[in-house]
Amino acid sequence: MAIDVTRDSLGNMDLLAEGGQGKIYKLTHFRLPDCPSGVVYKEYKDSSKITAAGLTGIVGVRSRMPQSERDLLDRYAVWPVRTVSKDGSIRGILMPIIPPNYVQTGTKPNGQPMRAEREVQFLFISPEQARRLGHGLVNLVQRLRICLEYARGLEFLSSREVVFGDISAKNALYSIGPSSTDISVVMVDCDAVRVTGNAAAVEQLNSPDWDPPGTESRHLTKATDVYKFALFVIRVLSPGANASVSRNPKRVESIFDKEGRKLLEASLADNSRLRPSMQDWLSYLEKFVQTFPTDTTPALRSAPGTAATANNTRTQTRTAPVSATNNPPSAATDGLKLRKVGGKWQWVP
Amino acid sequence: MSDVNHDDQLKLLPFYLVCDVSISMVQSGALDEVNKILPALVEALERNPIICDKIRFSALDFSDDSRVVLPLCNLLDEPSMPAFEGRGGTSYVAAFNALRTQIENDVNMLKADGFLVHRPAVFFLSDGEPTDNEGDWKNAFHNLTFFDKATTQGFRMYPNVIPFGLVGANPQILQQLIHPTQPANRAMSMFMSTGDERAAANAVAEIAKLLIQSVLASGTGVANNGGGIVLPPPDPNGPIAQLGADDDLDDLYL
Ligand SMILES: Nc1ncnc2c1ncn2[C@@H]1O[C@H](COP(=O)(O)OP(=O)(O)OP(=O)(O)O)[C@@H](O)[C@H]1O
Repeated sequence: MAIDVTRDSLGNMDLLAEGGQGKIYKLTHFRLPDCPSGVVYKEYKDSSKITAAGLTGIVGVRSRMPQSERDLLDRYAVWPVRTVSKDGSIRGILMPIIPPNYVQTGTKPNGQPMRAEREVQFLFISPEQARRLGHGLVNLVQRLRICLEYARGLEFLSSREVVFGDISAKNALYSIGPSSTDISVVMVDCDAVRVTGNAAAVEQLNSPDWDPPGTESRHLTKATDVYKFALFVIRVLSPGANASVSRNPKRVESIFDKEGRKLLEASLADNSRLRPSMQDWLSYLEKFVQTFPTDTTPALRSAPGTAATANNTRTQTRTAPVSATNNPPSAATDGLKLRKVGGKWQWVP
Repeated sequence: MSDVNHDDQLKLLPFYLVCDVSISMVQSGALDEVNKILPALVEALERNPIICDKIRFSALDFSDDSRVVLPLCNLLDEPSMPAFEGRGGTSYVAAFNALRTQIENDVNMLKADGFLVHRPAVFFLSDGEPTDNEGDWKNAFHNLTFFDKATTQGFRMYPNVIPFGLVGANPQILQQLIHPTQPANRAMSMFMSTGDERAAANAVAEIAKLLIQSVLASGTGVANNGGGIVLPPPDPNGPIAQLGADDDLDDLYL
């Protein structure tokens, strides 16, 4: 597979967004067989800040994969699929367009129209606030499944020697629906990933409030990915005031069993060698999610393009007392509560 | 548990918008434009709601007296935004005194709630010269901003002040309201409209952009850089010029 295309071959494009590093265009005519839903072009503002070999390496990770693996990668990540060059130097990358199920559109409760990528930051704020902004409520089981799906993607990368690096409140998107158990997570901003043993193509940064301990912030590794994933778990499972900056595993200790608490604690260790792997997280979460009763609640949103309503979401409370900064993951709505009974989580009236 | 202390030490950065509501602000159309600032800021925060874990916002007006238009709050928790209404003259003394009282109360409240509080940032917007005596406004500004670390004399919670001037404001006076002016890495600057009265609304629209970018960037950075205020550069072809405390004002107007 040719992994580079020329800037001149791209044809017409519409500006979609402007980020810190570059401009994002939707290509209106250019097609790629392995990108059937549409192609987006990211052109770097300052191509002196990118490493051509790094970008070629990232694209190469995908192009060297057999079809079945590539399909998996495309499910877990909006991965760069081609480099784009002009006059012999790389100016940008092509990637698939973010699938519409990761974009929330509709109207806010106050009637205003809204469109927002379902960045995981909307899982960190209080569910009531997320609802006011036009997002659906997400219950505890769904949140755990979001952790599971994210772990699946990160484990996939890690087992292929790829360090994601800048795990943040914006670099992963989630999707729920059409049924409430259809849950997926996709990583975005993948041009800053790094193949172990190689330098990154784009400087690997830590987003504020996601920096790993001490000098590790200068060298992002598989171990910093695990550390940041643990922060994600805390933040997604204890939404509300200050969740987005919390590093305190106590916020979620009543949710997990002993093994989970240990895993979380170890992932936050200052000494990176004491941290578990993404494989450990994946095995644990796969098992742990099974201990919850299957959630048969209706979809949070009937179809992509409609903002969820609050009425059809189940409720959960926790047996442990909830402190002021430790809001329960979603609000009571239809009378059913998720409780720990005899050490097991169950829906009870 | 490991020996690591995971308890969160939460940091907040308070912002104050202090706006001149003298009659000239109404006549130039500037105030109508000012009233779009808070809704636009809320809209920007709705796209980045987690920044609200790190900032609080308040608004005060001033003319002959000063009133709290929006008490310090998490903007995303407010059901609606209040409007500034025009009245009377231009007392900087009223503004500075009210601000000092307000900052002291707010910071003490946040600390009592368990937060670490960063030095507040004040966006001071005016289109006129103070109607107070020079000695009086200078005195009030000194009370708001003077602090001697060695002797702990003065106001320990003194804010960073970023003046915004519309036509009618005296740039030489506003330049004296930049605080602090040193050291260089902490020095604030001011933003001055380069157009005439007819461009007042335009200038406020540009000011709104700068203010929103500053809140987002400073708020995002709270974790990393100790809560420095980020002042984005204005569009070089736009209606606003950025000036430091030592810049020559003769360069401002051609
Ligand atoms: N594959 C894509 N499909 C559709 N939209 C995209 C895609 N990639 C990026 N965008 C849009 O462009 C915006 C900016 O993209 P991105 O965050 O990658 O840019 P950036 O320059 O790395 O920005 P920053 O450094 O500020 O995060 C995103 O918020 C998103 O709205």
